[in-house]
Amino acid sequence: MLIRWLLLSFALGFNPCQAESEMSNIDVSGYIGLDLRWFVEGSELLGQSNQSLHPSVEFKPEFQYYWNNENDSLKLTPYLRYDAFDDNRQYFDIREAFWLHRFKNTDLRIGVAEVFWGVTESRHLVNIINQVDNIEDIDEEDRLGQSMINLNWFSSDLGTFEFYVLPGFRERRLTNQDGRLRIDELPVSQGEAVYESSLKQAHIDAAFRWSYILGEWDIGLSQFYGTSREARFEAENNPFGPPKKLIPHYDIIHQTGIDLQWTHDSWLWKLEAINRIGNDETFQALVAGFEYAFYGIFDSDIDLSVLSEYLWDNRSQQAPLTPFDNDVFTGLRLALNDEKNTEILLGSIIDVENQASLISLEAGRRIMDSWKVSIDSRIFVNVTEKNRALNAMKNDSFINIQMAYYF
Amino acid sequence: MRYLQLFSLVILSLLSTMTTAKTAEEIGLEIAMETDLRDTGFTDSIADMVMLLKNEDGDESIRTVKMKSLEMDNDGNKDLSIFQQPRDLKNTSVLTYSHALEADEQWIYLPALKRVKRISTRNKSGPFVGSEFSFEDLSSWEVDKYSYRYIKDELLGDRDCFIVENTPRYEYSGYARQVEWVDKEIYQPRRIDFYDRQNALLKTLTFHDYQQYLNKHWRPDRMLMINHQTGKSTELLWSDRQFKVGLTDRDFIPGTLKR
Repeated sequence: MLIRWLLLSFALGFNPCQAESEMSNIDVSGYIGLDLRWFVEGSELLGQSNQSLHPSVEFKPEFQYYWNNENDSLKLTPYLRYDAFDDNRQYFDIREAFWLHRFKNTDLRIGVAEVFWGVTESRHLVNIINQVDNIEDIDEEDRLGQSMINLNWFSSDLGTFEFYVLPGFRERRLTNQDGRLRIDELPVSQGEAVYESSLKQAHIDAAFRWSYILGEWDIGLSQFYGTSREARFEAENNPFGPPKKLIPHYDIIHQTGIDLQWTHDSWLWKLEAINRIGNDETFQALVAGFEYAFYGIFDSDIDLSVLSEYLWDNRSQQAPLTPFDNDVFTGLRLALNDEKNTEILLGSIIDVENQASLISLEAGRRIMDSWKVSIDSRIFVNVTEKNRALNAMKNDSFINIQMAYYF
Repeated sequence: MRYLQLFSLVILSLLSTMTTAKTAEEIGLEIAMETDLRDTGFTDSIADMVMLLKNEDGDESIRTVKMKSLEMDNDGNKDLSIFQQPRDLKNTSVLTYSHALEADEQWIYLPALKRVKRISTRNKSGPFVGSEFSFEDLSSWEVDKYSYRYIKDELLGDRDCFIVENTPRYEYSGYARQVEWVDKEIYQPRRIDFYDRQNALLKTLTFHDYQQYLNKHWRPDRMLMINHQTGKSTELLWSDRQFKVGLTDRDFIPGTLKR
């Protein structure tokens, strides 16, 4: 009720001509989920909790208020995760809180929002606006809200032009010493992050994207200037012995990105590539591959898709760590196309040089009208010291079952 | 294309006055072109659609979708469907640029990831969100999509109808043919029988409670699709239909799906 009132008064403040608006409307939706995450193996790192079963609750309501013939809207999306044992996963965030105004050919958005760029499935190289929430999951698909002023201009001839001014940098969410899925054997000291910019988190970043549809081709070009969302982790200088913690270093970077998709018949051909300049280094990275669908297999309604992508990255050892320097992703997606919207995605990313593998399973099915059950799993196979980015997680294979109620 | 159709219609009418014997194909095409002509000029429209899915045991599930359409000159419509229900699909949106014979273009917006994905439109015969409507049943109708053959006149209930056989000319249709009852007064379908690729009767779609908008455009308030092979059915209920609400190209761009 309070939130509804807040939204309303907020809205009225923005709109002195309320009497003129033809339609106004409040929309509340979202979900509450009960999760059970099971770490299959015991923990191995110093200080890490040995709790293998983690029940938790996730709550993500969305409040949307429209007025002025839906040309104005406010959106508020709080996010809550509460884990019974792991205090890393006891967390509240505002994922979205913005005002959107539609002009004739332009959208103006001010506030905290989430933006997705890109086309590939295994890695999201060009997707740079929002910081990653590495505690929710390690697939870089959970993102923190980013404050922004965003202007999108739509032209039927020239494509879509997106402009972003991004004040307020947010550190990557990483698990503490006691949590599972740590990025290193040494704990990361997040309070002591070092920034290249003297403005630290107050540095204002900027981004631009142009996207265009040319028949079967979807093309995107993007440029980002500002504080890198990825950190370099450097061991502290400990005069009394070996280092006991890692310090994150956030550099100022220039990143140019391209994303391309060719959609033809049952084929989706995809490419994402970046060039990044920062910390006196320039490197390139690429993800390229395809998705091919067999529709209506065995005379049923079931679709089976085969996915494959090659991941390549030539950054140095001094750059932020990535496991995906020379890897192959293969996956299978099964869509039952039933009234329960049953879907299963099974994939693996295998390092070509040392065979370290990250296997992932994502499956979901609606039960009754408003409930959904999902199973997510990440399994680490053959991970050794050769794979520095994953080595600290090698015992952290898990299965997560969620029952969610959507309203 | 529309002028061409008009022109061909005039030619056909002239021909029909000169010669008495028109082929069944010519009559079928004339009916299709008249249907198209009578509905041209709706510009844009919005509507709320409820889908009631019923399986062979009588279990029901519901979908509610906001529909927006933009009429294109010389091309198929642009259509945007925004899901309201089931709630786990809330705000999931499907944007389609329909074309007569070329492949349609389609994007889906996944609100959980804020991601817009271009998807393949090869899967014409696949079910739309688990319903008895396939993608091709819901894609916008264009004269050029089918070849036509007039069969005979028949009374369907109290409505005087033409029966026309439509054969898809586009690739990857799930149908060998469709048999359509076209109302002679309003030039809109009253019933369509769908025959699968083996030419066995698969589904019957009936149209109910037609309303006229802007003194021109007829739309049914209710459509019922029955699958004869599985016993499942899907009913579509339409409400709050409005025409010429001022939608433009910018409302049908993948980038604007994100809300």
